[in-house]
Amino acid sequence: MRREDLVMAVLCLATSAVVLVQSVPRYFNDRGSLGSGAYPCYIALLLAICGVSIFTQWFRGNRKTDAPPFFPSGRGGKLLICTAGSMVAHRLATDFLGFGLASLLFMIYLMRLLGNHRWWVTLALSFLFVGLVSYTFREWLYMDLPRGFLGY
Amino acid sequence: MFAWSDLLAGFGTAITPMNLLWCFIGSVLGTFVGVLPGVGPTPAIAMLLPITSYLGPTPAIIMLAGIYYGSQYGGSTTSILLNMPGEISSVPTCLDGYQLAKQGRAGPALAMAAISSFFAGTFSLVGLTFFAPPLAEVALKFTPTEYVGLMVLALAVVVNLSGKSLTKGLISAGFGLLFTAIGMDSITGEQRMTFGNLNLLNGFDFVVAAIGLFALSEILASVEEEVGQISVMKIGKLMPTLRELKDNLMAMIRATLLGFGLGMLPGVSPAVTAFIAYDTEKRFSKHPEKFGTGVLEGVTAPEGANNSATSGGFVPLFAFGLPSSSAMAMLLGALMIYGLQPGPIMWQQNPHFIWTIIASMYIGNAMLLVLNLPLVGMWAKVCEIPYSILAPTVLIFCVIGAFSVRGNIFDLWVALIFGLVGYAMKKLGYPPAPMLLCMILGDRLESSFRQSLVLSGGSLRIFVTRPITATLLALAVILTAASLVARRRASAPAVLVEVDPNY
Amino acid sequence: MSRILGKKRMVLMVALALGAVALLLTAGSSPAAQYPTRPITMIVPYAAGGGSDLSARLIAVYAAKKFGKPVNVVNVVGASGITATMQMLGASPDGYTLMIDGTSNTSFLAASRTDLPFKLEDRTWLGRWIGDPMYYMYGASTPFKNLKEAMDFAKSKPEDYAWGAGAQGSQSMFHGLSLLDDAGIDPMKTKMLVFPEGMAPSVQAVLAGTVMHAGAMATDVAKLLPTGKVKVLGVATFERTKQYPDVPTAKEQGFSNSTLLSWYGLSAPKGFAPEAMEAWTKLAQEAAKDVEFQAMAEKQNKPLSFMGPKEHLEYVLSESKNITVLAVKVGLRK
Repeated sequence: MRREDLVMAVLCLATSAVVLVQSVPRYFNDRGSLGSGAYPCYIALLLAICGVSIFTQWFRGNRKTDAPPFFPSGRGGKLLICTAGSMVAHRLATDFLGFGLASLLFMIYLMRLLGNHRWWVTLALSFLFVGLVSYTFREWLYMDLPRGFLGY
Repeated sequence: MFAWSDLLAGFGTAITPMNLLWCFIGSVLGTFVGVLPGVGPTPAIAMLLPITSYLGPTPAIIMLAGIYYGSQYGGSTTSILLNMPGEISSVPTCLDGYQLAKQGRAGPALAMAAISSFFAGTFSLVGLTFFAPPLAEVALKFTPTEYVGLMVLALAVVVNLSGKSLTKGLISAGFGLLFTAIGMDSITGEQRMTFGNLNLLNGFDFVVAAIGLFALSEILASVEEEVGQISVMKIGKLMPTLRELKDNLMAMIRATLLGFGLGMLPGVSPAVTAFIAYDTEKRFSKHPEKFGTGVLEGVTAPEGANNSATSGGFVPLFAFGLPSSSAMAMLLGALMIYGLQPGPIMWQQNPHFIWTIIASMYIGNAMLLVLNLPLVGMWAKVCEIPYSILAPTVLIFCVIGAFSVRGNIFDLWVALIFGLVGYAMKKLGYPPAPMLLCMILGDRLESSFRQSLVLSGGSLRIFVTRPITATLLALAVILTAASLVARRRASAPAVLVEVDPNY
Repeated sequence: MSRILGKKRMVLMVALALGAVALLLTAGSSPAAQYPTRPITMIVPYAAGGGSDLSARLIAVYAAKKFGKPVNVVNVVGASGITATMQMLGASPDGYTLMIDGTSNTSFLAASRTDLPFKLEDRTWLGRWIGDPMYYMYGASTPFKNLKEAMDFAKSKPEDYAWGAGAQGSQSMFHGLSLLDDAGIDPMKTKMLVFPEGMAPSVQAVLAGTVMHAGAMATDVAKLLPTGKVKVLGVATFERTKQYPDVPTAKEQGFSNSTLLSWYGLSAPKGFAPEAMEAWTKLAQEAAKDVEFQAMAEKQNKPLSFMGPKEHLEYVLSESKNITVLAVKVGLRK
């Protein structure tokens, strides 16, 4: 167990508490049989036991630290954060710009971030891929991918 | 019910150029649809239903059936290459398949998946051919109580998927079960843990979660590791060796039987079947601890099982007209558009139609093998595409896939969040497979359990008095115990070593 | 600037142009003169292959033929139909999004829940197309010869009477509830088995012998009666059906309030474009007279029953009121 696992244990116990609070009042329904709260109660119990188990293992001295550090660092870490950020940005941009434009910008950004291509290649591949995918899914497969204010 | 002449006559019709053509089209479309994450056979069949009204019933059903079993061939491709399950039934394939791809062995993995799918798909058809009516009767005997037994047995699989730390596996499973509880309670209609958020009313769809947990998290992790391309090692041979084929034969047989049997039961997801097959193979294996690091049997078993499950799904459909899954329900709808009623009437009035379809399924499986094997080389090259191009394209496909499942924009957030969660889980050593398996099982387990209690009037004894249920539950206990013992034994040598240092 | 050779640059430029063109082609267009100018989306609140789904597809195929443009059926499953309804209500009323309505996601839903995020009147009702009667399907081995015998048994031993109710608040559930209520039994004392996936598993449960009866549609009866595994003891309509004239109605057998028509119709977002409204109303009128359409519907065991938009809305509201009374009485609605 590592320190991060303790965080996980706390998370388990906290979730368990929240679920119990929500579910215990609904354990029985008005007719006396098992209601909608029963099942979550048992899951909460399982999670609580697991959380306690992590703590027990920690205090028993089981502190293997051979795993890589949790928080992203270095160049890889920077790439990760930028990628994850761009995924969130793509999601938000889709509402505004529509799937087509947002994906285009997304792909251009990621190709520049992760690779070392010349601008021509980046632009060409992005336009081609996003264009084909948009066309295939919207026109042939009738999928109503979200559109933005420009209609793309 | 069965006569050789009927089957031969069926082949006669199935081999006509028109039917062959539509069989081919269906199989190819199915494979394509299977490869795409999130898009499955059900929407594909749904989309093509209007077109089929221009064909006759025979070519139409041949094509739609082709889409269905074809999709189980395609699902393994992205599972192996990208850790992205194309079909939910290909999730277990990711566990070993992707590891094989990283080791440069994508070729044998893909080929083995195709071969196993063909083997299982074809031989399970034998079951459909000879044993459909009596088997359907058995399938009918499954009441909610038996389903509880089956679901609990599937849960026993979780222990084996837990990797090194049982606690972490259980936490993953626990959260998976919890996620199924979020949303509207299917039996009382109450809202559970939605905190007033209308978006959560529907709960989480496990296909969307699978896209996040497996595909998105893998991309995030790979980006952090600064991989240039997926396969670190050079792509080796494209086909499995004869020795490997021989070793996998028993795996294929087991997968065929298991998949066919479970596929017959209405409501048992092919994903659950695939997981159980994976777990079963691990138990029979001489080196179980290697599962998860790139063992070919880890691809053979789930891929075979999900294909034989499609044949199994046709058993209740042809015998009683009862669909065992939503794709089957769509096929049923297609039949009804032509005014055809599958079931005893069809066996009496129009048996030739059924035999033609069955014959076309044999042909379709063969076609798919012939199609897929040569493509293995092409697919394996994907592992050599620069990651800077592969990552954004895969991500975009994931977005489309996640959206296509329910047509719901909120699902895109769900996929993203599961992606981040999956990444964190990877870093901390929490296995994602138990979480997904529980998300697939949770709803069914809970509703079957509550239904059983209604039937028994609140008493738990019903789970012990019904023979099939009791057997399944006992089996679950035995298997769990066996897994726990095996784990204890596997880690025992390490304990001994630690005690020794003072010597 | 780049050092790409002329030929390679040409290829890249072509690729770029191709992609840009493809993207441009997908841009959303604005409605023009003759409706419809592009594909129409029909939302189904339940899973593929079920009653609403098949009804929707029957109508969609016909509409696509008459309109000359595809009508795409999209299944938006979840929350007893609330999700699909919310999606439809939130869609643009430009005439290209509609929804198939059934009892389960309108009047019955409104009757069984007090927390609906919408009101029944807040949409454009396009009228009714199909009226599918619900049958009372029992296993072949039941000792009962008619509904009265079944209800007598249920009255004497309610806790031994198990029946399949389909999804929570669905027409299948109310189908059973109204019968029990008419017989003077408290349904909550019986073993009401809820099947979240809908009617299909509850019908299967009759076959498996898990439950005594379940509500079934004409398609299920047509499929299962020949197997000899089921018996149909009644139908919940005003008059005997043309398909099965031997099956007595529940009303005949003394259960006067158990008349339940499982209808299917169309609805659209509020403020639906007038030309679209007109087109669909006209389509329904044509369909009512179209022999080919009627033959198709008959092949699929979907009895047609047309009703115009205004009368249909009134029908739905009154149905909702009646069922609410029942729902409160049996304790389904808090």
